[in-house]
Amino acid sequence: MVIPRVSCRTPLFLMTCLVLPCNALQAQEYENPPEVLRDAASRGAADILSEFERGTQASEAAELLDQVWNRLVFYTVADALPGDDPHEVRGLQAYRYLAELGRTDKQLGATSSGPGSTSLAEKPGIPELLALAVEHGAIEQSVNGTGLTLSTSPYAFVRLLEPDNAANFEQYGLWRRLGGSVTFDMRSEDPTVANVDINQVAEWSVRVRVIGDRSTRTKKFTQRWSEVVQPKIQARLNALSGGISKALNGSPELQDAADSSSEALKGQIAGYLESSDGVPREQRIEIITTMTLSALKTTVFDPISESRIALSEETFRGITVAMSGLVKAHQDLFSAQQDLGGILDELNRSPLLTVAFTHHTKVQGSAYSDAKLLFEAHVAPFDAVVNGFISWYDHPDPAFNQESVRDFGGTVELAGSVKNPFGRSKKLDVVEPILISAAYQLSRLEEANDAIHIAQVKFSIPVTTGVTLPLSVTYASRTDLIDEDEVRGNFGFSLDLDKLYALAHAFAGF
Amino acid sequence: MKRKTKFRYDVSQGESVTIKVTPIETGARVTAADNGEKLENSNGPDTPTFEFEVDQVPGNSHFVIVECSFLDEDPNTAHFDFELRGSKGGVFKDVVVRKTNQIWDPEFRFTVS
Repeated sequence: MVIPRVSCRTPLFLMTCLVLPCNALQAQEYENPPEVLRDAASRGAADILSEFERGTQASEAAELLDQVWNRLVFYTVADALPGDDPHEVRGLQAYRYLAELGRTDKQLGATSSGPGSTSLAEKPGIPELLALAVEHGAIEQSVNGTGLTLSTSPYAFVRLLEPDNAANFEQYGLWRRLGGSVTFDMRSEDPTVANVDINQVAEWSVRVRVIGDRSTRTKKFTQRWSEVVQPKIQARLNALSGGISKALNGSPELQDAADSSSEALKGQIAGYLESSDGVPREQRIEIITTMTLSALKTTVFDPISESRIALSEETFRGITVAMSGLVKAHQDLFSAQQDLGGILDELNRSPLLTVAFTHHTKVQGSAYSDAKLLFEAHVAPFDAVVNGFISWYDHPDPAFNQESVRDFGGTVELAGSVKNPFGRSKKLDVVEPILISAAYQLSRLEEANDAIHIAQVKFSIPVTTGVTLPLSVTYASRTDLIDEDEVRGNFGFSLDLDKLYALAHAFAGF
Repeated sequence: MKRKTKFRYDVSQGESVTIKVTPIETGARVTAADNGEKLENSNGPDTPTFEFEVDQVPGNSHFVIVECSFLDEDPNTAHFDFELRGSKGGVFKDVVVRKTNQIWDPEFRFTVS
């Protein structure tokens, strides 16, 4: 196996030498380390810096090196040993923890009759965290509007008071079944939370989830995860901890060298943390990573490759076997990503039934309320959403021929997905599919003594993580105010803060 | 069990070590291995608990890796609280794996003294 030794980090290494104590000047650069080694060292460096930034003493923060040090030594030993088998470490891609995006059942926008709504059918999911959606356009109204919808669940407030552990998650399960949202009419303001005013409330809604639970914290989902995904994580941990044990328990000489090196390195890292105030975060992480790799080169790689530390045949064999197991485990974990997507799909396709009450504070016309039954289930190959609703005026105005009941009817929506060419910046990024739906609503408007037919085709295009562009074309036989058919196009964008937070983490340190 | 750092401990031969992991704002998805062997969860699903008996010779170590699996839909404040306990003394409760951490599978080293 030919191992390239071209370095592109020499300037950074020289910079590192300038900021380190004199003894570190004797360190050598670890040119072109294996990807998995560099990634683990970089992640460890990021955690050390984060701990220091939280106010922990530099020496204590540097001790976080211990959480990855043994695997760094193992990877380095495998890289230094002669022969091709241990060098499989160079084929290992950086380990990515399994995670998944793709919850699509949460109703992030306004209800179908709210200002600027692009939804004809409503989904029955309830976001646990504050979700924010700003949508432009209109359906079921004669004027265009811009709505800002805030949604949450009482459970979000419960966990401000109680630890949100598994026991309380079960105990306060009822609170998770409740949800509420407020939609503000933002036509004359910037669509931001800071600019909302109580007088702009266009509608408020309360929901109760009667059947189903799509949380990934339920015992049912955890059990599925244990059956499908956990065995593959287990295989990696077995291979990695076994390899570390073979290397370090098999060679007291290596163990002593690695221990001495980590102690010295922790001191150097602590010194650097204290002396590098004001240096950009990314640069600090890079320098700590370089320091770590240099220490590994000097105290592990060189002594092994130059046979100054000799490993027994049994240790060599143990490392080789562990490395082969690790390579296979990494490959299996890529398929586990799909397995996880599969069980998340199972979860997202489980039936949900929600009852919703909404009060519409109309800017024009009379205020009214409605009650809805919202049902969602998977009917292969589609996701089906069925709504039934009835609405009534708070104070019917006889001058407009209004009676107590405003309208009633039902909606059916069938949704499927196609591959998304957007939203992927790296090969391994998980991309949410484009959702395509077709919906039909039949309702009877009492004051007009007329039936209303509405048909809609909608595309939800995730353009990047947490940001979705909904587009729709709608035909209506009439609106609630004007007895003329119309075809209307709507567009908007939705932000999911849960996913944006997740994204912020996913790219931190890279 | 005596602590050297949050991730390194000295233990005695025959001592039992218990690692209890409490998930906060996330599901109980925890996996553990010790020197190449699976560590079974000896507790219920709410609070995964892993236990092993120190059987290495003096100078050698148990290398335990515990992976905490977050999902992207977990809030940014989600974390796992660890409690490490030795049957011959020593209880330590200040190890936390946060979703915002870069390392979700820390190593613990228990060296036989």
